[in-house]
Amino acid sequence: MKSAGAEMDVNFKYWFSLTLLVVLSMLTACSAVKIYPNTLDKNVRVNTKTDSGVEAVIEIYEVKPDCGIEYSGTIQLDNPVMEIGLPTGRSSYMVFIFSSSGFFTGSSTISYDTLLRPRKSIRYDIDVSYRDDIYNVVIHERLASNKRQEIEAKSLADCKPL
Amino acid sequence: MNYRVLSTIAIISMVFLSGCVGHMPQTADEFRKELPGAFLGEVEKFEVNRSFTDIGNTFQKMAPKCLDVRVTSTSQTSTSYQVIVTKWNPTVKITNKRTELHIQQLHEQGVMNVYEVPPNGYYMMVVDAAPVSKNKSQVTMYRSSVGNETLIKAIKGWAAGENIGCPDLTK
Repeated sequence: MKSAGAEMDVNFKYWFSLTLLVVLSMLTACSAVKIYPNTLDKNVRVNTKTDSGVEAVIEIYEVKPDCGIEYSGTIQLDNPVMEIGLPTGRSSYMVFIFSSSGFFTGSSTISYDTLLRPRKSIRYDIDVSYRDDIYNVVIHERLASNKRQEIEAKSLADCKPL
Repeated sequence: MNYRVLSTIAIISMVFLSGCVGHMPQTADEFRKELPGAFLGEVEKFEVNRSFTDIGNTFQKMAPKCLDVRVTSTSQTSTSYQVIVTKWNPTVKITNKRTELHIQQLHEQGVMNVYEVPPNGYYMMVVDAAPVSKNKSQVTMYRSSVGNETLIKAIKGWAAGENIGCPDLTK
């Protein structure tokens, strides 16, 4: 026979677990951030250098034939070197977002976006940096000779519907 | 100093500039001519070891990439909430005599434009690079003496061909 105290304890644990589950579900549902699946063959190496206190992420969007975009997911650039897989033969739209916050300066976010259409069997390097309030994103295609050729940034407005 | 404060200072300095001359500069030439006598106006000159055409190429590459942007800033107090939307418009001109970078700001929301606004917005900076010798140029920046430190640092980097990147215009 269970005592009243034990029954209350079981009830508390049940309701606490249920509440926690509901809150977590709500938080997950409310958050629009989806982690980029990154399941494709890795064809892009991202080299990141940022000041401490600066968070860098890439939002990746699939570009549809009509130039509309669909959010694929976000990659947090929390390692100096990361390998990602982008689909070849079609364009991806990438938005690089730098967020920083300080006690006196408040929080701020600046972004840089470009289209990239990776070619099959070609590897790409993306150098991402944010140092002393200066940021840069440079994309190189790695040639067969192991030389690198810079690829010019293209805005979404440059996309031509098929 | 945050962007809102800098914007306010820049706008105030522009108002002083307009107050002195009765209107806002409508062209880069007017800006060059009127800025030296304006409150908080500064003309800075320095030399770099690059040809003015190389500087122009860097300006052409970086200005559209970094300065063709729309910046939204918000300020909130217990009694007010203000949103300022500013479209930055850079223009690069390369002639056989010099390279020019014009930076204009068009306030799309949150700022009342009292004076006549040039088509791409008020001029906030003009940068000229003129040849001194084959691989040396003199760079002249017409700008406000306060604020925009990050922008100034970035443009000096573009001119010198060093530490090239985009200024975080929210700073």
